[in-house]
Amino acid sequence: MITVYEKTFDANEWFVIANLILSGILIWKLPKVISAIESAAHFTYGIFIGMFFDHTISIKPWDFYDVNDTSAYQFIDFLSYVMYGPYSYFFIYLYVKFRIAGYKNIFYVTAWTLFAVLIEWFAVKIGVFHYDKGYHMAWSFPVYMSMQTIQIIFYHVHIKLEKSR
Amino acid sequence: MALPAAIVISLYTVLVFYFQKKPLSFLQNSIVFMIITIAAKNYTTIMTLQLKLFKLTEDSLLFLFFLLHRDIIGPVIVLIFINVFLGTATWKKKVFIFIGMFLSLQLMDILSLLFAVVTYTKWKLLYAGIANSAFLIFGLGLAGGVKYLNREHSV
Repeated sequence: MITVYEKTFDANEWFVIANLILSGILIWKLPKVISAIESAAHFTYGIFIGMFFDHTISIKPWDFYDVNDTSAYQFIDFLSYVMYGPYSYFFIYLYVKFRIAGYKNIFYVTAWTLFAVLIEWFAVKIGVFHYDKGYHMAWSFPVYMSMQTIQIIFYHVHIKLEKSR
Repeated sequence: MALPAAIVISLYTVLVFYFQKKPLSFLQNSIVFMIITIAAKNYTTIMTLQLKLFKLTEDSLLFLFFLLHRDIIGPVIVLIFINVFLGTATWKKKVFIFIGMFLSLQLMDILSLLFAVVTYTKWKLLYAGIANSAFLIFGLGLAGGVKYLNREHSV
């Protein structure tokens, strides 16, 4: 059975669209610090991870939460996953720009995790996510932390392999 | 039985990919893998939730079979295909590898049916075959795209 939370085009839809437009402009305007293929890989990584979790734990048999206005899969849901792309791009963009290394990695991941949880909290408040089915936001902290750590490992593995080619 | 089988198949698939010769770089393969997985997730979610053409199991353990199939076995088979395809000169071998990888994808769909991971309501193996061929061809298209991105970088 499909659960309907609301039917209007309001805050949650605008949040997704504004996020996409503003981040798109920012990506376009900012000076490039990583190559086109690296940008594509890290942008895709965010979408890939967002979709992995949402298409795994928000569908049956687990089905812990819903996204946007209904429990059905809508186009705005797809856009809300694309929204993760710019965040993962900026994550690695600033990582390279500020030459994060050593223990700074821990602070960097912690700061981004807190930022991601804050954005998610806001998204829950305006109705992008609905956690009435048992999901608790406390889980998001380790999820963001591990996915960002994997992204850093992914970046370093790529750099190492590229040098050895 | 279903989950151990899926784990073993996943391991063999990943091992074959790991040891094969790869004309595409790590980053290029990663992009293709992620986009194929994104497409596979959307494909299965739309087919099950929206169009209700087939039903997914509600058993948590069997669902893990589905996840391994959707997120590892299928996309890695596409990667194996495009890397062999791009590294092969003759069209005879290219067609042979297409048929081989197509049959591997079909076999996974047959196993999903046999283990009751999916139940076809308005769906057929023939349609699944068309979708599997589309995934293989889509993979080739993506490989062309990421090769172009790399050229842009090296210019």
